[in-house]
Amino acid sequence: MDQLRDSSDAQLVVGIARCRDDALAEVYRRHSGAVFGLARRVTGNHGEAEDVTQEVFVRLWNQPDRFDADRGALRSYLLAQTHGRAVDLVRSRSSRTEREARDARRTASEGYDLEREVWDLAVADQVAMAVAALPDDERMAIELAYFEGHTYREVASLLAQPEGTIKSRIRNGLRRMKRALSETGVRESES
Amino acid sequence: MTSPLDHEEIQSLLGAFALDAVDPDEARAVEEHLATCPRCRAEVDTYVEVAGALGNSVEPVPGQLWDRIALGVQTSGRGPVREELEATDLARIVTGNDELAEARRRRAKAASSLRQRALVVVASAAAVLAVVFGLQLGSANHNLDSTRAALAAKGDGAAVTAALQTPGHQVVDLRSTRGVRLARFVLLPDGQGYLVSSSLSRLPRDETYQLWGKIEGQPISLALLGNDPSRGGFTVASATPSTLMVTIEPSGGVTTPDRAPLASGNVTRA
Repeated sequence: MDQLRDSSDAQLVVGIARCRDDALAEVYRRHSGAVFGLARRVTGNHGEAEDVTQEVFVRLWNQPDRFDADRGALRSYLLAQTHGRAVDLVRSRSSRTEREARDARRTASEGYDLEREVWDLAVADQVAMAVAALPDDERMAIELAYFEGHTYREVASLLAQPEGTIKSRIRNGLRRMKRALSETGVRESES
Repeated sequence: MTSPLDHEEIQSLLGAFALDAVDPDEARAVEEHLATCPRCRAEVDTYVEVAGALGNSVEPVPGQLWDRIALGVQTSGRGPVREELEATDLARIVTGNDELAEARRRRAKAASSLRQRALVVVASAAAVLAVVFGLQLGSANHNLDSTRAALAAKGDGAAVTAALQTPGHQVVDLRSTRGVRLARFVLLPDGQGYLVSSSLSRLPRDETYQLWGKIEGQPISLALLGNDPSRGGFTVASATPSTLMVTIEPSGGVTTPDRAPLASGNVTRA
């Protein structure tokens, strides 16, 4: 078990590929808080966030080969999967009423890795600063797309801007954030 | 999309693509392009990493969620092949090391009185619903109305979490004849019960899962679980049965099971 604690994320995924459910449990311990947090933020719904989290980890179990360590950290991969599924759910809803009534109530935690949570909070501060430093038009375009689940076309319509402008704002904003995060030394944790 | 996108058009979409903010046909076009363009792939990977940092807002995870995932793994048809690790070991990994788990247990204990009060509220609400529906639990000549009424309310994760921390609770795993766990219930000393997790597959709309409790050797209907009880948080009320069973029945349920149970599990005294 201690070996697992010392394993990198990439090694754990190899373990999962070999049907080691303890490796999956360790990945869950490290990353479930972030996966659930993003799913909850995007869907605005506790039950749907649970469903998304379950789906993401079961999918990792069934298709570990889809994670390519050369293309980025496991956390990024899991969050990309989470976001995609959460956005699908949001877009499949006929009404957005539920999202507008988001419940920020926090639920008691029994499982998340506290040390990692501290690290995550530190990173969250840096990310919040990087977001705050973005020009308003770029920040707004990114937030509407990422957290509200809108397509860039919808964002363009909401902001009454040409679609090409929104595509550029999103791309430029992401580049700007990348630079800012690199300067502050924030990188994905690779355990 | 009437014409294929050129390299420049694809590039302009990469940021939105990384945020899942493109239309499906554009997403397909970008994916096809990425398969053959390392430069764009590298750019997208950078954006995905930034998006990951953006979405890295951690929230406490519901305690029972790992059980659902473990069930999904168990029924995925892909292992696990190892048998040496007990479920408790996996739980220890998920909850952190022993010391941390102990600290959390202490914290949970400190909060338990509050949760107990919350549980009483939930149980009371269920009781009120039971009265409204005319529930007659344990009646020897129970009828279908009462069995329908036993499915008192759709609970939430907090109620299940509180139930799992209630002294004297019993966890009952319902397994198939081949030993695969298909559902987990928690029963409380006051007769309340909750579906904690389930991997029962979705049934056609005209069928339902029906939960039975064997009381004094007789199967008593406890609840209609619906055709897709994949979410935890159902509330059932019952006397203390010796066994819980699930059958597949027509959507209205039946008064007496005439089919073999899909899964069953013994209720053992805590």
